[in-house]
Amino acid sequence: MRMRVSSAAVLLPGLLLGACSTLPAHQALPAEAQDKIASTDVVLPIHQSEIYVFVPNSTGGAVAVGGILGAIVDASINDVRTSKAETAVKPLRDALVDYDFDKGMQADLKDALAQDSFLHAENFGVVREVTNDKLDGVLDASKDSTVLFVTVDYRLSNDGDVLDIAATASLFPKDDPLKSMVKTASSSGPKTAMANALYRNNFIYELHLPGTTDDRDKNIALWSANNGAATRAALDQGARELAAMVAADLEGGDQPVAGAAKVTTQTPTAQIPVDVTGLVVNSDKTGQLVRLDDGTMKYISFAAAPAPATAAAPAPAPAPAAAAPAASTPSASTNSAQPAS
Amino acid sequence: MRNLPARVCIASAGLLALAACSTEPITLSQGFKPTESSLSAHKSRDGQDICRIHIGDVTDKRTEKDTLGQIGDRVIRDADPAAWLRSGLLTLDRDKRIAIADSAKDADLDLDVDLLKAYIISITSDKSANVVVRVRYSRGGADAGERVIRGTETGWNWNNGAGEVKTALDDALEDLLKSLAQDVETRCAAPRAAQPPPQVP
Repeated sequence: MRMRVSSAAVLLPGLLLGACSTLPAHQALPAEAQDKIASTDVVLPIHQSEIYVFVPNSTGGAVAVGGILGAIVDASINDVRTSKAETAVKPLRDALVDYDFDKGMQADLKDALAQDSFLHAENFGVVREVTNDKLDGVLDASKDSTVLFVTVDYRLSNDGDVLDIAATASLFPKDDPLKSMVKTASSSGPKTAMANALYRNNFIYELHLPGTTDDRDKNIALWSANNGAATRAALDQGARELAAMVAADLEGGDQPVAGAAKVTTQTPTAQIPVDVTGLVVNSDKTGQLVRLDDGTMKYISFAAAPAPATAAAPAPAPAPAAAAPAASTPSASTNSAQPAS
Repeated sequence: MRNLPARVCIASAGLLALAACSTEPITLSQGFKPTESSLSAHKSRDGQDICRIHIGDVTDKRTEKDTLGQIGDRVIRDADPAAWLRSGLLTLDRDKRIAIADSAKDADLDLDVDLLKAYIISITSDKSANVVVRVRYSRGGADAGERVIRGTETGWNWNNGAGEVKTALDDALEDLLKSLAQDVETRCAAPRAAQPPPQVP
């Protein structure tokens, strides 16, 4: 049974280690399907309202102690780590309070998929509820011949030095001629299980911010500086690159040429970062596009963001506003007065 | 193919063997329930130094209004988050330096509040609640500035329960109200500080 998730750790096929799935991560769209697609609904399941810091699950308790006591140990460690991470990310969230990632991702996907004329993509929408029941309901309600789900998740690595955006695209048939092309279809389990997809693949955008170290607070201060300029630029670029990768992959593009350079890469937001290998599709001064061995597409950005201004030391925990504000001037701690989008 | 979620509740981790984590949607319908009898340690002052505020418009400005997030596979909904927020704002007088006025003309400060974010997410075996508002102040009908304020609460996710979800959101709002009370008091104090001391006859 396929479970809807949004963690990069489980979106990256390299981490599956073959233990939980025999379904290939990448299923190319059959060429003969293109002229049978009359229309496509595009749905973006995005579970989060704001960026977060990835926290790896503690497993030491389960390994060293086991049983209920081991679970208590791990839950306690998780609580400490998660509380610290949630506190650390607050300045960045505050700097991005008016930033609408969903809107940008939707617009970029619309532009990119316009290149895939065979899709006839029409309705685009974001859903915040990322459960099997919800997505099955969306699939059932669609009147189009296919529904393309692009599930997206964006976060910082635990050290705060890397921003990554992970996406999974899956195309589900509604019309019988298209349904007959899905060789792994199952009548049990969720209708939006990956085995029922006519097409599926995983996509990653990654940016290691220059100037970062292993000090999370300082790294987040860099991401937060100038009203979150570096983060906004990275998320904007990431949305564009992801949308372009999805559109290209749907029509079989972005394939490495003969003799392409090999690359080994990891993902910092994985539960267990492991080396995965692939081939370079193209590379320029802004970034490198790689097709991993399992078909996953990854864009490693070199310079998405403008060089951040030197940030001041991280602000201490919010204290009562000390300065008495004038009638028409916000206090020193007032966030920029941007309307929420 | 996707695996089981990396974020799990403690029940499924084996800590509570009695009940597995529910996946039914949670619908919250009650107003804000304060966890503390007072918002600050400040004692009440004489009547002229109490900050009188009026709660004006409270509006849900979130882009996705149909959920308050998701804990595990359990979606959280509230029929009227703006009403929940208003019920919290009306407890600001738990800070003894503040009194709630019935109308703007009787108040030192009028507050219009926009709800920008209100959600719970699951991270590891924890749940984290965030509530963010923009407060627009006016004084005597004139703009008196604005501020964005965030309240948070992070803690164990026991079993995706409705009760613990409601408590987490209320705790996040409580955290926000403490910051707001201090901001209100500072803004009220400014005009008082600017006034010359009364002349001694």
